[in-house]
Amino acid sequence: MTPAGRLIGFAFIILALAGGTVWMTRESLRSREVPQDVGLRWLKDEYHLDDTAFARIRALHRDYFSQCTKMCRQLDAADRPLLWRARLRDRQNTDITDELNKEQALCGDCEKAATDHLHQVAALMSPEQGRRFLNDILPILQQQRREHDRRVSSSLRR
Amino acid sequence: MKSNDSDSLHELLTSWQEQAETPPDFRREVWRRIAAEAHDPGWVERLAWWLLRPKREGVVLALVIVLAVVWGITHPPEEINPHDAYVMSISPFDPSHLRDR
Repeated sequence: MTPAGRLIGFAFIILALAGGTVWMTRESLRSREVPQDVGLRWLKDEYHLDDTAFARIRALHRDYFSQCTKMCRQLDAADRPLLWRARLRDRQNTDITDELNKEQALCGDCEKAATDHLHQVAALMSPEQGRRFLNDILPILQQQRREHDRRVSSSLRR
Repeated sequence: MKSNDSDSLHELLTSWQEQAETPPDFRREVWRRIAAEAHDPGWVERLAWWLLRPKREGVVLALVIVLAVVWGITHPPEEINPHDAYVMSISPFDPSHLRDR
């Protein structure tokens, strides 16, 4: 092998080693907490929840998450064909309208479940903190719903 | 007949004595010609010659590992914002909602 070839080979080994080491170091520093736990910890600190209220809110979240996972999978399955343009071309308008209606009904159910859950959580806080909590989270939920609907309808228009 | 010829050739060769003498600067001349033929190594060859030795390679690799660990520690992965984590976990319309299920 020529000196230049050996040098290039050595440079590749150095790059691979550096990349692998950086990746392993960063991964070992990454938090293993799931977003649900990070979010709940934030809720406790932000709204000054005592241990009793937090335990009840945690139980509420557990119930909500199990119901939500089921509904979200249904919503995801209903969204997929509507967001996938290639599939829509060969279909009748009535099929698409039916699917869209079904998707919108599911979205409505999901939004209602989330809103009810947030109200239940707020009820376990002091009235002032509960109002602050709803004023913070509900508008974001509604905004995300609007963005979701916009994504679906713009996919149908394409 | 053939055997007689080869015998006489053998005798002739064994009786032959070389009389020639090498000139006094013979060795120097040989090296001068070799030097004239060889080209100057470029920077790549010089670097390869200097660097690619087991001890130096080991030192460079160890240095790279240390620097990569230091860089990884000083540039940790971005943690999710706790507020966003809460919204992500409760909002069915958040794009990352199903990712951690």
